[in-house]
Amino acid sequence: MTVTGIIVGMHIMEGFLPVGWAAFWLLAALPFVIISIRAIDRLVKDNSKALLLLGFAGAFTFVLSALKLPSVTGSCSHPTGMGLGAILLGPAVMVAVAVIVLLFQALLLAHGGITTLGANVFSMGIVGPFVSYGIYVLCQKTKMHQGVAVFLAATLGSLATYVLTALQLALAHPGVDGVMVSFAKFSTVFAVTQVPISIAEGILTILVINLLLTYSREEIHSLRLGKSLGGE
Amino acid sequence: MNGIDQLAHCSPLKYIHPGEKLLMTISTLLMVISLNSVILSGLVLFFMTYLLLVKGRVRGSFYLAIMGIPLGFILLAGLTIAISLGAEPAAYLYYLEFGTIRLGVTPLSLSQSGMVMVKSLAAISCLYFLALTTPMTQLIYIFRKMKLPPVFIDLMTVIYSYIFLLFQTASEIYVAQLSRGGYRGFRGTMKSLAMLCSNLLLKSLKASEDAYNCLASRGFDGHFEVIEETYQLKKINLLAIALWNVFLLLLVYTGRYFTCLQIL
Repeated sequence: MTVTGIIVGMHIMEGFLPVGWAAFWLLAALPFVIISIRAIDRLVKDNSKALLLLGFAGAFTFVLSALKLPSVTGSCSHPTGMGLGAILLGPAVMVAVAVIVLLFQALLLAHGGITTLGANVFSMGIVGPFVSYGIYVLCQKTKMHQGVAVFLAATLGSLATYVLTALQLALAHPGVDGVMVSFAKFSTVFAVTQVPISIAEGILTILVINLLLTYSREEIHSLRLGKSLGGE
Repeated sequence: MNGIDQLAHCSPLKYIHPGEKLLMTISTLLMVISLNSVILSGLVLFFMTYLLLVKGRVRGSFYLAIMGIPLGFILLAGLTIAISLGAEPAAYLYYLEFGTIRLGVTPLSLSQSGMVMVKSLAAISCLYFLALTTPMTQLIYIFRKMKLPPVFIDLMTVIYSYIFLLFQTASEIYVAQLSRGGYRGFRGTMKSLAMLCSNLLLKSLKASEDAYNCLASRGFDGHFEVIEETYQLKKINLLAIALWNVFLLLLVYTGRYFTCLQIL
């Protein structure tokens, strides 16, 4: 896999956070994870099909990040799946799915880590999907064109993830210059790959959703996935 | 995928109680990230590598290759920490001046960056110790013993079971696309990728439907009941893990106390 392919995941690697920050992000993510698991539990009690559906959503997200695709395509890595998942399934259930996907990525692909799991869940499983979903809902309220709404949701969700990751690294490693300077350094370095990738991701998500709505509107709606998507 | 999973399933260390392996990994990881010590990190890296290569019979070339996976991130983030902005000119070992901004490396920023990279490498060797000796099914077993919410464990089981099926499907779609002239130029790449993603998503939905029908016809009520393998906790292993951690602690503290040669 190329170097870009590794960086685009933007997972904070094992050992990069001191114990204090690792614990902080773990505790910060915990309430969201608990709420999410409870939401899934209710869904599954209601209809046990939901378990399989969420399972496949998770497997889908993981596989997108595991594929060795050419360099631009690093864009189709983890966050795309998350943005798409947030729009299709809602961000609340995606948190628990993200925990599992990130754990598998750490153990099966060596992307991310165990001690950095909390921080990665917070940036990729919580902030990214919630920003995506929030923007998507907001755009729909203002009757914006659906393509634009999807693009903004996916792009800004991915950018939010990247900014938060840079902030997490800056807080943990302020260096001699302080947190602000350190944040400027990290966000500049990662911007080189992350800004184009976020835009590519936005375009990709529009294309995917258009394809889905064109050829398989029924499937999407029959699964109550598309309740937030325009149409019936 | 890169074969970590297959190796874990064939590891000679597979039949050690997964709780022991998890305890070993987590406790050592905590030591590495809480005690900033180059010596400790080096020792952990050495010992974990020894365990994997000798006891776990992992091929050296494979180990080196997977150690390279996180290297991109480590180097990039390490470099970012090494470069300092706006210190006094005298503090720099070397710097470039752009107007009022000075970009350079100071002894402190260099040592901080080196520390973090060494720690990260040591921590990654711990991660690999777990990943290459403990199949996911054992981890699921231990999570069940830890009384994590059943629905979370069921979800883990489903995701793990279908990762490989979907990965296979995705790889086949990818090869098919390539052989028909897909992924040419930026537009072509985006188009091909979108087709791959949407098709994979639909195939996932279809597969989940099929899986549900299968399970439902066998009386599925939202829970997986599985026959568990049993593992034996060995006192000697637990003792060894405890001794290893005490040894690491002693190493760092006596080192700091006697030599006064503090490493950071």
